[in-house]
Amino acid sequence: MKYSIAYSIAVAAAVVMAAPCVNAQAKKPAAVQQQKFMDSKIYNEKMNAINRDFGKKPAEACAELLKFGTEKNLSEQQKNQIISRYAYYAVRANTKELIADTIKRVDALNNYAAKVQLAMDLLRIRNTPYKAEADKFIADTVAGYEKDPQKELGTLVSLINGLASLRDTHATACSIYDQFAGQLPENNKINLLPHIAGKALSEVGDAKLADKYGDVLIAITLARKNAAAAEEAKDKKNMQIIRAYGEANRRLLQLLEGYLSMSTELGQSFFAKAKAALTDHQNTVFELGSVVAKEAKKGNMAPYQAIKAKVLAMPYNGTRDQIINILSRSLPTGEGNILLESQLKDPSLDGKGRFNRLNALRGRCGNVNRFQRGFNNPTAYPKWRAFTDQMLSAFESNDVNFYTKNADTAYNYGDFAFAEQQVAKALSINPARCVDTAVMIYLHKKDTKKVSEIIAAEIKDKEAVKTRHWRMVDYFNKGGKCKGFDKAFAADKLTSPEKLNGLRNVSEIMFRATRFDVCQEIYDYIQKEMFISLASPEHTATFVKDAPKTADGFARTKMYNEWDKMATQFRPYGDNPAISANTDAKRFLKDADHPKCDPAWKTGIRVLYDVQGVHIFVRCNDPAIMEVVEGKRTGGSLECTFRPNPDAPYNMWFFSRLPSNYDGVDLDFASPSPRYKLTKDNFLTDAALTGEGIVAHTYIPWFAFYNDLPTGDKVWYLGLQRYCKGGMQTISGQVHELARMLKIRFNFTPELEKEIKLSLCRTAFNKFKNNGTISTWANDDVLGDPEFYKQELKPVIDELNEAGKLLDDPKADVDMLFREYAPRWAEFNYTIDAKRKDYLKRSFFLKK
Amino acid sequence: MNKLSLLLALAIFGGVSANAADAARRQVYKLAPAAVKANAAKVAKDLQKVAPEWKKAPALYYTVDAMSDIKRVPDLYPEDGKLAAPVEIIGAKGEIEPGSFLIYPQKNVDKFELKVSDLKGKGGTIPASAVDLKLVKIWYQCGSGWFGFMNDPLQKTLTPELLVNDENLIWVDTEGIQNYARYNNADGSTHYEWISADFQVSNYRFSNLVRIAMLKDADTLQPVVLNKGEFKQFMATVRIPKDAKDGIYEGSIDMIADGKKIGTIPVQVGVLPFELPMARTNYNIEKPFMLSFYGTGGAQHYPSILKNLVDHNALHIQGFPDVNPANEAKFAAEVKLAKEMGVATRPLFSGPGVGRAFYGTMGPKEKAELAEIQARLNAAAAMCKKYLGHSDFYSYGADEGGPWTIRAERPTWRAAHAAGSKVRVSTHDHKRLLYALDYMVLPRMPSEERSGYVKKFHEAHPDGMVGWYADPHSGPENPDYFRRIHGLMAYKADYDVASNYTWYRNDWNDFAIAYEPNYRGIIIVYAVSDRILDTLAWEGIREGIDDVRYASKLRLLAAEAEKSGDADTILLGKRALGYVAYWDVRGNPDTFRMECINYIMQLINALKKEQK
Repeated sequence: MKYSIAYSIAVAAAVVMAAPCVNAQAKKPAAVQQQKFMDSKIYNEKMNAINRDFGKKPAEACAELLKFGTEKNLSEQQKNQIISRYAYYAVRANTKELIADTIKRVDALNNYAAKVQLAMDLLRIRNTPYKAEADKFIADTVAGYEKDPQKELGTLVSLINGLASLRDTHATACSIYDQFAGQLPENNKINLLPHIAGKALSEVGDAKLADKYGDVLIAITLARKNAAAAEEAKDKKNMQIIRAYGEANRRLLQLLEGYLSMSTELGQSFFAKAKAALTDHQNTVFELGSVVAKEAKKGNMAPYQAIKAKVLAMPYNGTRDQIINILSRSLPTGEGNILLESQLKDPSLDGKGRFNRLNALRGRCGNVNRFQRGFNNPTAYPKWRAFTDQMLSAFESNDVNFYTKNADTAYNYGDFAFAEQQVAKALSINPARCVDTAVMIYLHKKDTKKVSEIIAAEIKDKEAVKTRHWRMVDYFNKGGKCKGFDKAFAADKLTSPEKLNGLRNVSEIMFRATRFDVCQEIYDYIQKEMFISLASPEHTATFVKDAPKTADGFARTKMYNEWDKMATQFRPYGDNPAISANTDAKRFLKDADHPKCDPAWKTGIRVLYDVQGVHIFVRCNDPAIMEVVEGKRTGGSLECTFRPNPDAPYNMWFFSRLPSNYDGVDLDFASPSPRYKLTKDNFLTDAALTGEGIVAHTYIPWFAFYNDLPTGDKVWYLGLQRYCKGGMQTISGQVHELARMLKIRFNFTPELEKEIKLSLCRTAFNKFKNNGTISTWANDDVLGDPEFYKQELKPVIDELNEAGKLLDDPKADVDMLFREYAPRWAEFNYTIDAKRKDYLKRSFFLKK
Repeated sequence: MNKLSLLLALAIFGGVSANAADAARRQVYKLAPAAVKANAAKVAKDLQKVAPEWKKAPALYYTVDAMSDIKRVPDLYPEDGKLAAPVEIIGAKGEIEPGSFLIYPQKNVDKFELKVSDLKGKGGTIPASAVDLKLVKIWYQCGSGWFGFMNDPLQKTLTPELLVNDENLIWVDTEGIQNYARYNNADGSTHYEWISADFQVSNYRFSNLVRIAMLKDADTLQPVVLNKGEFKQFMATVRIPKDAKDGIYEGSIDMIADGKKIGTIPVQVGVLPFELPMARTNYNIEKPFMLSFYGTGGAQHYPSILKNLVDHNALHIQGFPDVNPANEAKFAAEVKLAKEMGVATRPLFSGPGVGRAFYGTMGPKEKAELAEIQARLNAAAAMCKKYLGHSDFYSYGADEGGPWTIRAERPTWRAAHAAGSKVRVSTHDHKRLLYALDYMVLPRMPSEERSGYVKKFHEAHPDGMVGWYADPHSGPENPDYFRRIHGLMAYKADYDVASNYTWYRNDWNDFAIAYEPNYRGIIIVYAVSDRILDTLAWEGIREGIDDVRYASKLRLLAAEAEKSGDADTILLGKRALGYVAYWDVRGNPDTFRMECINYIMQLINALKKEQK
């Protein structure tokens, strides 16, 4: 694994890093340069897939990213994004090797934006050891700006912004800003100032510093306000001046909200200075809306109670609207609704206004999403529907999304006629914006013709790659089958992952349309035709008359080296079924490049058995076993599961810190009863170091599963995962995935079966005889119960004792004893319990 | 595909109207022919021991242990069952106690009904309405069903789980090996939807997840179908009135097949002469032993759900009453509601979050934030004191935080202590690092071995509490298993709280779990549109806490006996304590319960004699 990552990094690096240079040299005429770049959808899908992988396997994701960077049809922007993403991953993974590699790559680039990003990423590492490298990138960027201010202005702005956001570099940000303030365009200043001022307060805690930059922003905004006011008074207005005020005003407001988010007091004190630069409307909204909402969120309802009447008495205008919107989001539902409902009483409200206000209330009537994770609110849909009806009467909207969402919600609640009515309206406004909902609804109706019409309109005049999904849907809509799919879509030249994704996207919409027959067909087809077999591997156990009883004993036999007789079908952990599309594509598609375990960390299972029980040996190779011997690390762990038949409860045990047999998990997944025995009561484990690694051993006496012997065609089941420095390996899928446990076959001869059964009968009988409670029940009239003993236990004990005599008779029917008596001897404790319970119950009802 | 499945397939897939789909549907399970034959032979043998009129009855019944670990599938003969025996239930005043029986049809019945009578005794009448009859619905769960909580989607196993009134709420297709749910549409129609499709079907979107708003169960047990040779389990759960007089109450459940009475199931309820106390801990009889599940958020909006929690001994509901100083009116209303419903209001597992971890040096922004947290906690404490007279509420830290997160939470946890409130969180045993934690929710089964961690925490936190969650998460349906690990096992390992994850979220589709697809459904109950459905596991948990309540009653009486001054009474108390102390968790909890009752009755009588 390591080899392949290193290799792909090396190969990919050369190509990606060379790319800017090649492009810089390419000076072909524009017409010739018309290169077809990778479709952004495909690019984004790939980047997203890599991103998903990154969480689990950072190094592999980085390698994959660099490999992707070698694609020929990437645009320059995409290549830069890939490098930036690579740098971001390297820092997030915080792996020295990757960070060094990315620093080298970015340093070599003539791309200051990438340098700024990496500098900031490096500085964000806690106790960063890369300060010098980051400082160099900062210095490079400043120098780059000085060299070509026009080109690198944006880069300098992002540098200042980035540096201002960190406590340790805020001062640097201020100094760079101060150095270039005279050159910076005012629009850039108003972008930077709220950030520098805000962070001066929140990160550095320097109110004076915050004031310095905040005051500059207020001054600029006030100047612009005055200019805009003058402009407003003119007949012919310069809209640029008015817009410039709008921009500064927005930034100032942003800073003010930032102060308020820290504390009401800070917000109010900054407001006192800034209000002159804001509009009257904004001042009222801040005082009656934002400040009051902030206090309400903290639980201080007094300010709200003080202004409630005032707000309700305000004239119906935009200021009142905005205040109520802000307050309703922070107040308890009931109070919020009072305010919103008051808005409906506006006498001047037109249809559209009423529609909008009903919409605000509709959004608060409960969760009407298709998937609800919590409890359902039974009144939500009826309320939603009532509001929707009112909205429809109030105003005829031409918003296609409104009707489409209505149709979706109504459909999900089985309000089918209304859903169809709403989707018809959506189709009449803009068919392209409601295709998915419309197709779903008409697929549900089985209106094949209508579905085809909608799809035909949608795909008309579009590139084949962009119409693929809808063509596939229509194929199945018209009765197409998976069998003919390849032929029908041959021209699309689909890769296996594309085909898998395409078929499943069809399945998804078919599911919503309740066309489960199509979903099932697609599902079966994928499992049978496209996926590898997920059947359990098998292993045949070996009878050894005197099997080794310990891991060390096994390691000293020749069997230790008989890999060909071991179950070795281990694969890297992570092939969980039905867990993610990415896993399906990478682990289950027949033509995927299936990952393999590192052979240096080979694992093998050998199962031996004798008359007393079963010995499971797990050989775990470790190429650096001396690290374990000398205590640098443990030898990893094993997670083991076992069940004797496909319906039985399963036992589970851990070797938590090999080569110790310590089980730090200690779990059972069933309660002790005649049907389940606790793992700790029956399973014995040990482990041993060898020259090549570790052997772990588990002994399971037949007696633990006397009622489930693997006779005839029966098999036993073993699950095993190994977690070690060489990676996580599994022979049985996900942990506790019972469907893919290793099947262990035993080949009992009739003689051996008889011998085992006879031994089990003796063990069971001895367990019965050694039951320590019988004499107490019989003879202790204080702690026992002689009457109970006489009535309930003695007859059974006599019978079981009598049967026990047959164990010494060589002519005894062993099968009969095993079938009839072994369970009764073995489970006599439970017999006492059951009889005692019934006895006490009966006594209770009789006494009364 | 048999004719029936074909009809259904036509109904579901072939465009037949929803009503026609209903008419065509009949719940039939595929039975193993060999099992059917063997079962018939066993039943024939059993019939020799009962009244001859049962021989020709269209259906027989077996009483069985309600909370058994036996996974009762339709072709499993009940080895523990008793043919034609009475359903016997013993409980304390105010207790809710289950009984159970299986119906064994000797021929097909289209409409099988059960009708319960009033229960009469010398002490008066327990009305029929106090007996809740439910069908145990068997459906497909993933391969680890009944046992595990990890996903195992490549196989489906028939698993008894849901307690329903309407058999047709879920339709199990044993030919296609899938579950379907009946959806009640807003337009008044109904239709069935596939609810066991895994995420591959929806390409990992949530379209395949169950829409709970569409599910409706009936208010009372509806008629069911009986298919020859197919066992069907029912629960008969009695809510013993608090004011019932002790003694035996007798009644019956009539078996009615296609309108004709075909037999009677006698019911005997023994009411004990005492009420059960709240559960107490094993290590300190003064301290409560609590059941407080994760995943009860939102329950406060539905009185029926709150009542269900209380009925199952889950008195400490996480997040309720909501100690949120931003909404005092809501808190006041919730305190009132909690008191009305019998929900515990001390301690409260609720309060402003204290999971804010301040990594590194705190700057002005962080200090301002901490001040706000402190102000919020102070306000919460003041509010709590105002309405409840205490500030014994436990705010939650950062879930499963590692050592550095715990270190970074120190200022926040300090704020809770400064406000006079407390901190709880799920965490591994990080030993001294947890010095500021008041309630540790420790992962994994509360085994005897794990009690060492519990003991150490109690040693380091004399007023502290330890709960457990996970490994197993909720999921296993086996009621006996969940009864033990939430009840006596946790109790005997000296835990204070059984706090498993999770009680409810929409995990209806066992093969596709939103956000955590590596798990199967890790829930205890299932929500439908307007209520929750009980399950075998949930009934098991209630019984588990009741086991602890019986043990607590016994120990309280033993403590009284100790003070009696009478040597025999004192020694009786000691014998009783010894029974509880040395009871092995491998034993049968039903037997434990009966022995406790036996000792409690002896102690009550001895103490009465003393008083005389």
